[in-house]
Amino acid sequence: MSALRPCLILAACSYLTAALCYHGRWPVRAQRAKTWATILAGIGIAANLGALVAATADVGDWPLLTLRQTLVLFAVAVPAAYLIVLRREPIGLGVFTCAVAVAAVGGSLMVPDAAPVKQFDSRALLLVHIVVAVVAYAAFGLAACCGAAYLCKEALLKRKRLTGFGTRLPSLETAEILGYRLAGFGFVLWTLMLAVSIWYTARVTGDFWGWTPKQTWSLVTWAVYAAYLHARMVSHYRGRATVGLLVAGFVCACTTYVIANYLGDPHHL
Amino acid sequence: MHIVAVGLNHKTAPVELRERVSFAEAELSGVLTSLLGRGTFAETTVLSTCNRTEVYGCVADVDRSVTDAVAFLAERARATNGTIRSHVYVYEHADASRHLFRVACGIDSMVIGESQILTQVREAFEAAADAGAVRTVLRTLGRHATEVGKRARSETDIGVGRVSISSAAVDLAKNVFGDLAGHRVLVVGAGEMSELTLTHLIDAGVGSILVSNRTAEKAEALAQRFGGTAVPFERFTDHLVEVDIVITQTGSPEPILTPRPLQLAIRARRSRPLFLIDIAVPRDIDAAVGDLPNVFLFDIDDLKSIVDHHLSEREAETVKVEALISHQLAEFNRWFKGLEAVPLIQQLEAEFERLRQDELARLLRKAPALTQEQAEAVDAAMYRLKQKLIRAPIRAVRQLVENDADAEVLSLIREVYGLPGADEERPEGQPGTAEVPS
Repeated sequence: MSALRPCLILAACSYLTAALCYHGRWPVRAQRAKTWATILAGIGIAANLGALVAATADVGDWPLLTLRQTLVLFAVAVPAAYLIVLRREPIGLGVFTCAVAVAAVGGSLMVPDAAPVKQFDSRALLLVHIVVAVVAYAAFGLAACCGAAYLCKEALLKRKRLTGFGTRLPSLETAEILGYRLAGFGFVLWTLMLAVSIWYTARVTGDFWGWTPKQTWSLVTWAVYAAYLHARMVSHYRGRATVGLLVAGFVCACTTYVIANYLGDPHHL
Repeated sequence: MHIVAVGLNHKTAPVELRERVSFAEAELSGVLTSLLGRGTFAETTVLSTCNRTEVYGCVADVDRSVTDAVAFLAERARATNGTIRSHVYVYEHADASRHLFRVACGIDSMVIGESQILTQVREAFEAAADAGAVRTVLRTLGRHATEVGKRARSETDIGVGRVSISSAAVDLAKNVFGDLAGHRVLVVGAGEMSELTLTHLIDAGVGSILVSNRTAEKAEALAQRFGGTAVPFERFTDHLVEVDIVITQTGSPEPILTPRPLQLAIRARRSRPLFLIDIAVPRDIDAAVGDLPNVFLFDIDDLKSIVDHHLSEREAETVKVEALISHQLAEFNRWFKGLEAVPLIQQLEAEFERLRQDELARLLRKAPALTQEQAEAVDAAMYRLKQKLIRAPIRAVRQLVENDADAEVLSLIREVYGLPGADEERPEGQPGTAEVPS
């Protein structure tokens, strides 16, 4: 029997409990929340890595060739990147990152397993394309978490109810800067992923661009982040609307990642 | 041996009296020497802050030491003993320890949970230790007080949240901008509260400061004092584009800032957040400004409600702090109770050592042929035997004392081992302050 499913369930439970701890009210006190949440997120990451190993054993190949498998990788990438890159930031941000991880693990448990994507002549190119895409999704996910933290804190400040969870969120400026850096990093990877995708498509089909749902949505995602970065870098816009683009961009990225697969695409399963 | 605390604080004495009995750190050594010189304190320390002056002592006679402490406070206050008596509180035994723990935790402070008092308690005991005024009992009491004070702040929310208007405003600014370094401030009007808030913001590292006032001279003076730049009052809205924080406190009966100039400023700022603090009554900023996107407006009532909320949260936390104090007090009392066993343990030690020395001398007399090495081996063996024999009675004595055994039981032990009575052995003047044998 495969250990994939138990590992994923353990990971989801750990991430969920970690998210509760990061919130800082329950089940542990705010002073100890960070320690417990870090331990639980660590357990979740370990279980998630265990799921990756189990998936590798199951298929006897890199576990990156179906949507379900890449969701497992994405689920581990978000909290791991949070613990490495954003560990010094206020713990409220962890609620959003763990929520994304729970959603990703839940998605990997729910989506039906498909046959691996057909591999044509360049396996290395395909793997680069997939890994770069997953890392870009993770960067966009974290950027959206920063954006969500910003919007949440802004709403609390506007309502003048900055107590409890509100105090555990990063400042508006910090959340905005973190989101910008992560989105910039993700955008570079996304552009690279698109370039590899075009190259790969051209080698396989002889056509650079086929306007498949996946390609179209990936272009929409690229355009949203390009608009955000232009507004932020060139026009120096800040504030709620600009940050909202981070969340909107991630919604587009999620559509590209999951929903576009069900809109009829022969190369993404 | 007893612990006493005699003092007055903001709840019992007016500031005119408190300021007369308080003293500077440099005076502490002399004060402690004066207290010890009265002969009733075996150990003593004095805690003096702007809100309280308290004398803590380890004493043999509670009544005499309290009288001495009151006389000392009366001398400092240049008042009669009777006058001081009406403002003084006295705690004895466990109540004195509990009071110190409450003080260290900040729940006896004017602002509940304030953290400065813990440092002041620690420094008072350290200074007394340096002056040789505290030994085992008060040193241990001070250590327990510091420990429970730290635990209260790390394990409860007693110190969480800002509890003054100006610090709450700075805290809110940090929630918007994070690090305030490099952020620009515009102060419109010059009131006491706005100056205080500006001082807090400068401490937090804000960058350039602009000052505007209807009276240009006042603006110039304030700008000079805080190292800022004065700007004309009629055109202060022109600067809304470049600043991040605005503090207003003018006497204007009408709002001086309405949504229209703010909308233009926000557009020019490219939606960069703007934080507005309106401390004036009547308000200087139209409440509708708060509805503009990326503008965060807090008036005096908002700040007050934040402060009140933090204070009520701290108030609620005192229950948890009291539980911590009770736990720490039980631990300290157990140790303190154990001190009563010290004289008897010392007697037992001395008696067993005397027996060992007698037997060793007798053996050496009867066996003069023993070499130096053999004599040392016998000595070591007898020492080990003594330690093994004495271990059980010492443990029993400790347990009996901890369990509040009757004096008769302890007398019985003395009789069994042929020891003199407790009264005969106790050293005069400094009872119970000897180091506890391990």
